[in-house]
Amino acid sequence: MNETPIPVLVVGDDAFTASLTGMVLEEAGYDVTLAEGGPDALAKVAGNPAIRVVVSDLNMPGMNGVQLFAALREQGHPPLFVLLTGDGQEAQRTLFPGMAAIVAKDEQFQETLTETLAALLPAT
Amino acid sequence: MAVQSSRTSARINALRASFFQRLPDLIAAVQAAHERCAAGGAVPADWEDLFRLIHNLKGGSASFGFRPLCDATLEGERLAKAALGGGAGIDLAWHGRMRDCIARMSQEVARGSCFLEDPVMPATAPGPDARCGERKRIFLCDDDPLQVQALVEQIRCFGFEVISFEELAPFQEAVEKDPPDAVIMDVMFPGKPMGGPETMNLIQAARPVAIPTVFISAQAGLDFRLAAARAGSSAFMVKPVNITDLCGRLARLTAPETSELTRVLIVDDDPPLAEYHAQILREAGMETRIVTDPLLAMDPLLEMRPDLILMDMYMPGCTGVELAKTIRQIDTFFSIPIVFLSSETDQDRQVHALVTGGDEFLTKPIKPGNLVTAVAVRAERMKILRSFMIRDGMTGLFNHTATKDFLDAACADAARTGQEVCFAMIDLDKFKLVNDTYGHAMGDRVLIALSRLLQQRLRKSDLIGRFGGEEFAVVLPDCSLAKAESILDELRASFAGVTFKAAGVTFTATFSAGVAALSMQPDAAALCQAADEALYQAKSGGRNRVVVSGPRPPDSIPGLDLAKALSGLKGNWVRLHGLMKDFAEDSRNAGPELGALLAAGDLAAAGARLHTLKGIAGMLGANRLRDAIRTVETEVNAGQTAPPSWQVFEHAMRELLDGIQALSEPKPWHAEVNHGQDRRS
Repeated sequence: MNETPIPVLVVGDDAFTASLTGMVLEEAGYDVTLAEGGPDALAKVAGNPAIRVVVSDLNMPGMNGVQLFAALREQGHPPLFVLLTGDGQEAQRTLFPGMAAIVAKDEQFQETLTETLAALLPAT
Repeated sequence: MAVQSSRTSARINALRASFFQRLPDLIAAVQAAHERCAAGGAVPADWEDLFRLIHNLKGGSASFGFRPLCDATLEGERLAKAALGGGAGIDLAWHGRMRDCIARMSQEVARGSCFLEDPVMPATAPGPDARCGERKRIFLCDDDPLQVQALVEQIRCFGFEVISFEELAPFQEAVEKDPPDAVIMDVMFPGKPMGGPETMNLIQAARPVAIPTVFISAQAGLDFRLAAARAGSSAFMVKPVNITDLCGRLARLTAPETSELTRVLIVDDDPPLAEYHAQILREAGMETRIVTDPLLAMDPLLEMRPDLILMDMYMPGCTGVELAKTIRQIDTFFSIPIVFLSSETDQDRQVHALVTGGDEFLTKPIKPGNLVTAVAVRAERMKILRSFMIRDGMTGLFNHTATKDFLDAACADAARTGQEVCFAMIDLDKFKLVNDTYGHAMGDRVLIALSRLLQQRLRKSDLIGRFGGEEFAVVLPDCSLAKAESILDELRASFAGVTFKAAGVTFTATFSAGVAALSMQPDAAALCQAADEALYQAKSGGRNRVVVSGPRPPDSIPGLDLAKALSGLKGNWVRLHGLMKDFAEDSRNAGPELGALLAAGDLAAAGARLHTLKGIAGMLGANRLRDAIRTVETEVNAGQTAPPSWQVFEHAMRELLDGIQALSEPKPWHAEVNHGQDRRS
C-alpha cells in the first residue's frame, strides 16, 4: 500500500473505458484523475507536475493517443506514457520508442494494467 | 469522553509526580534501614524492613514506568532477600554491595532519568449500552499506597468498581460485611510475610462459596505460590502486574458462569445404571445427557459439546477404549476429559484404558460423592483450559477460532430466526509504523486501547475477537447493516481522537474497517470474505474509514466473463454494476446507430465506434462480441457498407445488453459504499 497515493491521469473520450480504467487503478491504490481527451490531458499534466503516469486510450476524436504522446514530449519532462489499444493485434503496430507500455483492452486488461503500472513505478 | 480521559490521565500523572517527589525520602529510608542492619544488634524485623522497603521501591518504579530505577533496585532486592531471617551469614562484602546498590538508586533518582514515557492508558467513558452495565466490585488489598492507587485507576478503566485497602484488618471486616465479586490480594504485608494468604484462608474457610481471588506478589517463588494456592487463589501474578492480564482474569472470574452448567455426556449401555449416575450428577447441579448405544454417541457429542464424558468400558458394538480413541481424533475433543466407569478390576486393563485415551478409571460401584468430585474437578479444569484456548492472551478478546465459531453459530441462529447478522473486520492503520517509531510496548498499548474501546462501546451480545496481529473482528447479531456501519464509524471517530504519549511525543492511531451483512451473502464464509474485501477497499481508499460491503455479484452474466470483468476491482460489484448499467443505457441503440452510419457511408465514424465497442467487449471478457466486431471491422475496412457478419455482431451485442439490463438493482443503502472516496475530477 502506498504511503501517499501516486497521481495518475487517465485519458479517454469513452466514459466506460475511462471509468473502468480509473476504477482499476484506484483499487490498486493510485490517485486517479480523468481527462476527457488530448487537450484536457495536456492542460491537466501542465497543471499538476506530480502526475507520474498518463494512461491514454488510442482512438479519440481530435487528438488520438499517439498524438497526445507526441504533444506531451514537446511540453518537456513528460510523464510515463501507457497507451490502451482496442486489441493485441494493433499493439505491435503502434509501439513508439519512448512509450512506456501498450496495454490491450482484452480480458486480461485489468491484470495487465495493474502489473504494468506496478512495474513502471517500483516504489509502490 | 475526552474530559474523562484527560481527568484520569491527570490523576495518574499526579500519582507519578508524587511518587517521584517522595523518591529521595524512600531512598533515605532504605539507607536508614540498611544502617540499622549494618549496626550491631539488628533484629530480624530490621532485615525484613530493608527488604520490604526496597521491594516496594521496585514495585512503584516498575508500576510508574521508571525503568532505570527499577533496574537499580533489582540487585538490592536480591541481596536483601538473601539476608531475610536475621541476616545470618551476612558479611562486609554484602554490605559493600548493598551500599553500591543504594548509591545507584540515588544516582538514578538524582539524574532524573526516571521521567520516561507516559505509561498511562487513555481512558474512555463507556457508551450508553456498554457492557459494564453491571459493574463488578473488586476489593484490592496491598500495603503500598502508591501501587494501590495506580492499580485502582487502571482497573477502573476496564469497567470494574474498585475499593482499596492498605491493611488486612479493615479489608477482612469489609469482606465479611459485604463480600465483593473478586479480590486482588498482595502476599507480603509489614511484619507478615504471608499475611495475604493467611487472611484469605480465614475468610474463605468461613464461606460456603470461595471469593475468586488473584494474588499479586513481587516474589515468584514456589513457597509464595503454594501459600496462595492453599488460600484458594484463582490466579497468581507477579509484579509488576500486566494490567490487561489482570483485568482479563478478573473478567473471567466474575463472569456469571452460573448459567453455564457443567455438561456431562454419559455413555453406558445399561439404561438404569446410566440414569442412576445422571441423577447423582444432576443433583450436584450438572447437566447430563445419556447415550445407551455407543455407536450413536457422535451426534449428541457434537450437539451437546460436553465438558466431560463419563463412559462405560464394556458395551456392545464398540468398547469404551475404542470410542475414546475415536472421539479424541476429532480436533474439538482432543483434550476433553474422558472418565471410564466399569466394574473392571484388572489393573493391566485399567492401565490400557488410560493409555488409549481415558483420563481416569473409576470402579463400579462408586460412592456418589466420589463420582461428583471426580467429574467436577476434571470438568472444571477443562472449562478453564477452554477459556485459555479461546482467548487472546494480550487483549483478552476471543481468538480467531473462537470468533469464527461464534460467527458460525450466530449465522445458524439467524437462519432460524430470520435476524440479520453483521460482521466487521477492523485493522489498525500503519501499525508497523507505530511499532517501528515508538517501540513494540507502545504498539501493544495501542492494541489494548482499541480492544478496550471495542469492549466498552459494543453491546454485550456482540462478540469481539482478535484475529492476530493488528486485525480485529466483531460479530454483531441482530443488527442492520446501516446500524453496524454507524456504530463502526462512531468507534472509528472515537479511536482517532485518542492520543497516545510516548517519550514526550503524542500521537494518534486510526483503524480501517469493512462491514458486511449476512442477508447479502450466501453463508458465513462469504460474509467473512465480504467484510475482508470491504476492509481492503477501506485501506486502498485512504484508511481511517469504514466501508460497507455491497451485494454480491451474480454467479454469471450471459455474454461476458464476470470474473475477468471484476479481476482488478477487488470484487467491487457495486462500482462495476453502475458502470455497466450506464454503458447498457448509452448503447441501447448502438446496433441501429452503427447501421445508419454505414448506410450513410461514414465508414470512419463507424470504425471508431466499433473500435471503442471492441475495447469494452475485450475488457469485459465478452469474447463472442469482440470476435464478431473484429470480423465486422475487417469487412468494413475492406469497404463493405453491408458487412456479412452484421447479424452475428448484432446478436452478440443484444446478448450482452440484455444480460446487463436483467441485473437486479443493488439495495438503496449501497449508494453509501464509496461515499467521500470519489477523487475523480
